[in-house]
Amino acid sequence: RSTCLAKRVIACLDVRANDNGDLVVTKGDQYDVREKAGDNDVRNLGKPVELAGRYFQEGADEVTFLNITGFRDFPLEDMPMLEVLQRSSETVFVPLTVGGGIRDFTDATGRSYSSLEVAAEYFRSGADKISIGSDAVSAVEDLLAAGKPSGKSAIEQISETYGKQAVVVSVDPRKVWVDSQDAVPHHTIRSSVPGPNGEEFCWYQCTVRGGREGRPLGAYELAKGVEELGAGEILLNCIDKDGTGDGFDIDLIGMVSDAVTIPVIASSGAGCPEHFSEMFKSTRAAAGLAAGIFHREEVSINSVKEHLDSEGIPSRM
Amino acid sequence: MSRSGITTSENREVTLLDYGVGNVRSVRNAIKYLGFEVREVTKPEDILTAKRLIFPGVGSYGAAMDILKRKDFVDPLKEYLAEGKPFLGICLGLQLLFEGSEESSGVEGLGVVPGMVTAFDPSQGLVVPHMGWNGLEQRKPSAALGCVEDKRVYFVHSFRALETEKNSEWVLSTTDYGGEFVSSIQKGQVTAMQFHPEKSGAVGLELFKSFLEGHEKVPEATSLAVGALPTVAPLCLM
Repeated sequence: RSTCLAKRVIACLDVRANDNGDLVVTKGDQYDVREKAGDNDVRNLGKPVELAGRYFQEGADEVTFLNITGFRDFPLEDMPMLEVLQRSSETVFVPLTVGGGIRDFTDATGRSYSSLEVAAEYFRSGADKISIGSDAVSAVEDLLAAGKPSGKSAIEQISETYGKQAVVVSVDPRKVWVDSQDAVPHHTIRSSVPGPNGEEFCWYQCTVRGGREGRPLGAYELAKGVEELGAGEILLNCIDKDGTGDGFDIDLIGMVSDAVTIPVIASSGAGCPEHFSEMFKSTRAAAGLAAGIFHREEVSINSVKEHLDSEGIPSRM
Repeated sequence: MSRSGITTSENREVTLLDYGVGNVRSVRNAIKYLGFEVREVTKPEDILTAKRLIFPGVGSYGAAMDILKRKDFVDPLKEYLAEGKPFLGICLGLQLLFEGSEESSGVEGLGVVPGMVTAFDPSQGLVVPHMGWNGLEQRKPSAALGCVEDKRVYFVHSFRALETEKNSEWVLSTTDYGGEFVSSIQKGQVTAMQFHPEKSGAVGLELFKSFLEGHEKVPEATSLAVGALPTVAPLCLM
């Protein structure tokens, strides 16, 4: 008899404040959160604490909170997020991750906080892991420019104090087609599907600010860079797949999970249990994450796990 | 007073050694969820006067031993462990019981369990840290893991202890990840888990309950065996 590590199924809640200031759960399609039809209010899909509790009961292996307006709102105004963590951790006894706003900042009264202090508040409130997004891109850009770690990035500081397993880096790549394998100074791969003009190769460009801005850095280089800086895990989203229900981007996940030795969470695009099994069979990803399909109860967490189990993929039942 | 010497008023109390780094909130939440109260360790004496002690370890080996030394907790801890009163170590709280760790070379651990803690090796493609839900192979009869059986518990660590001839009697369960490692230990009333029961869902809560309530039912297979663990009566609720 022997044991083995199961693949994890993670439920994610994108959290923001609605126009009344209440914290609600949203699910943006293709990163465009504002409701397209009707008035400008944000879709309300349930309260964060209740939803986290429901996911726990339903068998989620981990629960992740993403404050998707983190790049605009200061954590101090975001204190409600700390309360979400505190209350959730009272009844949710699986790992909790929180992302959004984990950076140095100065509040309206002029008081400064380091990213380490911000992270400390999240940990004290019940988070097991914090997730860093846009700042990871600049940290790796700095690393590549300097040729060595500065010791100053949030990733380094937080992983030094709390351990690398407490630091997740969230990556938001978008697929860019190229005419040849060497067309750009970034790692390219042969795509499993041809491009609109018959292109065979592509790279995955890192974006920041919720997908609004592209950076001259590939997801491959970012992944290797954050691993070097001390990140313990990568949350690999995909702008092109988010909200489509078409399935994960297998090429992207394969590329990144082969590039690093830290665990990779596949995210964006899951529409059915088969997408999870397909992804686990074709890549070395350690976990699969979904948000919308679980929120909207189109797919249950249990159906994903039952399916994995029936496919011989180890799962926590 | 019940057999274990704990009075009614202390029946629902457990002492928690929180040395101030990382998230111990979940352990507190689990304890409260089960209807127990947390008594904090603020000074060395609090360790010695504890009736049951939980030690969740977080952070790095060296940093933890450093804090324990500065707060004068090391000797009281060793004394508590030698006295045989109920003790539950979690994660680093298991590793610190050993002699030392590759994570912080030169730093001495509590040295209660023979052996060193060493690193998982990512060079052959092993994903490190070991993060996620894995199983336990129970190696000796004990009610401490009674409820787990085939269920999975949550691990997150980059270092682990390996079984040796010298520490074999301590090994309560092993787990496979890049080879077999020690996932929990027990000797008498001292138990420690490499995994996180406070992050292991319902199974984890059962493990806490089993420790807190201190009751042991002797597993069937060993009730006639020589050297079986003595049965301890459930705490009297007077």
